[in-house]
Amino acid sequence: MEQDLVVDLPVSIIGGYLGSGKTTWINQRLKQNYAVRYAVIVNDFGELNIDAQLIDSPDQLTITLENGCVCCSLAGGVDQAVQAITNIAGAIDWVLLEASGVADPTRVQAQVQSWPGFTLHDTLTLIDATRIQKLTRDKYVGKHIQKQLIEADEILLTKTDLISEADRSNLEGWICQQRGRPPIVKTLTESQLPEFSAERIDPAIFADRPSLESWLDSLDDTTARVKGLVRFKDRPDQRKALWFVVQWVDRKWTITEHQGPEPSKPGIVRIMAAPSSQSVPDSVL
Amino acid sequence: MIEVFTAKNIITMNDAWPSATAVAVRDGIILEVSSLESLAPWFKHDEHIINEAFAEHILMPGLIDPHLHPMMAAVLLPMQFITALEWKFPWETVPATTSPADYRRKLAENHAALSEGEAFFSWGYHSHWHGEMGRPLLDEIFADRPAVIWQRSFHEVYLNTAMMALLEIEEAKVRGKHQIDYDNGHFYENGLGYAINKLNQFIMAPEWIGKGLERLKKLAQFGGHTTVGDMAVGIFDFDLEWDSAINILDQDSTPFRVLCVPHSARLNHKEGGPLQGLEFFKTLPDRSTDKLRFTNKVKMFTDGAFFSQLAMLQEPGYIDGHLGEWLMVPEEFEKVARLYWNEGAQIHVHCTGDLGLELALDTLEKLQWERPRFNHSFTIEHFGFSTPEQVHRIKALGANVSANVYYLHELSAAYSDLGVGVERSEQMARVGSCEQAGILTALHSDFPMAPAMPLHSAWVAATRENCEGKVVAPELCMSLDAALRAITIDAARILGLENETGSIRAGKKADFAVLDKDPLEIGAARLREIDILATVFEGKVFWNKT
Repeated sequence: MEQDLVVDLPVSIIGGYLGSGKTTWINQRLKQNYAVRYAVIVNDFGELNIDAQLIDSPDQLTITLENGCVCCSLAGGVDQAVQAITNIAGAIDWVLLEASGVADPTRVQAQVQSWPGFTLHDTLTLIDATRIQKLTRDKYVGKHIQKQLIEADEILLTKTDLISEADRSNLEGWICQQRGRPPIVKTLTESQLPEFSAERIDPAIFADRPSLESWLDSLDDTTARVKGLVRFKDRPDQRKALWFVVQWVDRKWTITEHQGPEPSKPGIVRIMAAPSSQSVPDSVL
Repeated sequence: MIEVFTAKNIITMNDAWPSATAVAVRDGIILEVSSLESLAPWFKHDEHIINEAFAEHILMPGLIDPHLHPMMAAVLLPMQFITALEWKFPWETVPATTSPADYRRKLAENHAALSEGEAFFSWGYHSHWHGEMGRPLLDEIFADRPAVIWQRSFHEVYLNTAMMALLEIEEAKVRGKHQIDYDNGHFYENGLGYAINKLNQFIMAPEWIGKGLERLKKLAQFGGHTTVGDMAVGIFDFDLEWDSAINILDQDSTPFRVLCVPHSARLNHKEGGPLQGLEFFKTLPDRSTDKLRFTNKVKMFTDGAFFSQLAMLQEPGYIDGHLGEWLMVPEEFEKVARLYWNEGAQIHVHCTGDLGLELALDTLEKLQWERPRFNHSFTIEHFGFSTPEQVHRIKALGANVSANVYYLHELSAAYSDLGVGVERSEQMARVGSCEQAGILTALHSDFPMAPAMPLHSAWVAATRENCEGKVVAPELCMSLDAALRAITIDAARILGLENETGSIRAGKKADFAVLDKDPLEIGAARLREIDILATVFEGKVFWNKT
């Protein structure tokens, strides 16, 4: 049954050309953040691109979609994938959209902004340090690669262990020059995976609805997401207390009546966006 | 039993035996095309009847559209057409509706004619002619009846309140979404997919598809076709499409055969990978029937849709600087093409822009270097933007061209202003250069992207007259002869069916189009005035008008 998802699900767009490490990166993210339940959408329109099968996520939801032109949308494509996620939205915290290697980020962003129930969170481009400069001059894909480089919120350099320290430094300078703005350039070796931690909060600490509301109001950007199921005891008029779904994203929150079967246990999960110290070893790439 | 058809003129499209006045047919096969008197030796060995129904008409080979999309047609054709340009269908001629008042009157008439509760679907709305559109207007006209207005480009729909309720589209979810205007019931571009996903329960339902395919049968006959190519089998859902095709097209009432060319990416997706897709591809000919034929042809794609300005262009690109779109990552395109090439498959490649074409040609050149093949039938499909230099390369590499010349008719004016400028816009679909270079060239409609009227396509190719009446780049006109070949024998060669159809000669299938005027007599400029009175498919007559 479709849940009435009022708070939009955040979507991160993961871009980058073939071989830049998108799938590896996504797998790492899935493994290291058990607290967050992801749905992964793979924009797998290439015929040899078997990324969807490589996504290593027994518990996660992976949906393959093909390029979303009107014709393909008729067949389902992206909108079917989105619908599938919406149908289980209550079980999902975050969506990772692995863009195709030649995606135009502007177009992918526009697509995400059109999906009811979702909100664009960020766009990340992974860059193969050994290949990027040549790729930006490629006869076929050069312009798309440049656009991916320039329009990402954040750049993640991969395969830096294959180039010298001097080359890397030059490359970072070149990237900043291309982007025309201060560097938000990280490398997988020195930086961390997107990092979340989670805590389970005992709903019993909220005596009534106002106390929950004021707690939700107090949350700041260190919190990425809150969701859960609660019921309040102070409802003398009800023979059976009602369950409520709590959602919080980007400082917006909702408390709505729970529809459907009786939940097995109440609970609130808070996912924090605090950086973790964990780094990814080079060997994963 | 021999049946002899006589005609005022039979244009055989066999250069060595160009015209005749009678053709003898037995068991759907042509015995001889000559004159009634010359056929006498045949009559000594078998009974014969003479059918003079076409005595005052012109016979041509059954026309061939080597690239259209039956399933897309099936989705569209059940809708009510209300359009700015006239569309001729066998079930109705849709008149041009060119003012907002007329458009609204048409909607009201349709509403009055429908039974209670029946949903209304229309296609063809365009604000330039039809004025403002939106949910309040639709609610006023249709009240409680669910209604859908599909914009001419296919990229926008408008829904009324009743339809939005039926589809359970909730304000809380869609309000404020990019390219969705909730108040107006308007879903467009990226926002369209959400609406289509909801509308699929109607437009992909078996009854809807069935009705659409029945209409396609009539439409194809009306255009004079006896052979069409389905140039992307599996575009929506391979199994659903095959079941529908078997149930509706593989019937005695269908006056044409379909050469089925599977969409490689869909096969791979369905089967779980390119190698598995290729294995499945190899099994497809086993399921061929008389009317539905898989051979060793496969369809691939380089760049995005021409109508959406997503063709990939070489320098200097689009005037507004936007990029086109690759439908496959170029290096993956090459890998998949190699897989099929090395299996001896014939690859048809959708190419709309000159950079898309460049990728196809670079790939073909590499594959030829690695493993040379002759008569490989590598075919450039659509052929929107190209350069003169690429035409020579197509020739040198032995490739074929199947062109959609309707692009230049409908879009050359608009793309001069809004796309690429007049120089490149007016040279789109340079089919005349292909003829001069000796490249095997066919014309197609890509229906429903353009009307499935081969003689209309031939008219565009031979006159290069656009929808504003301007002749664009007349140097690139095809000769009348080449334009007629491009919808008959050369189209048959593009599909690999040239030994079976495409010309009228002894031994081929008795596939004819019956014309009310002689194209060789009236000339290129009047080709589109010709009416198709009937078709003959494998000896069986199908009249267009009673």
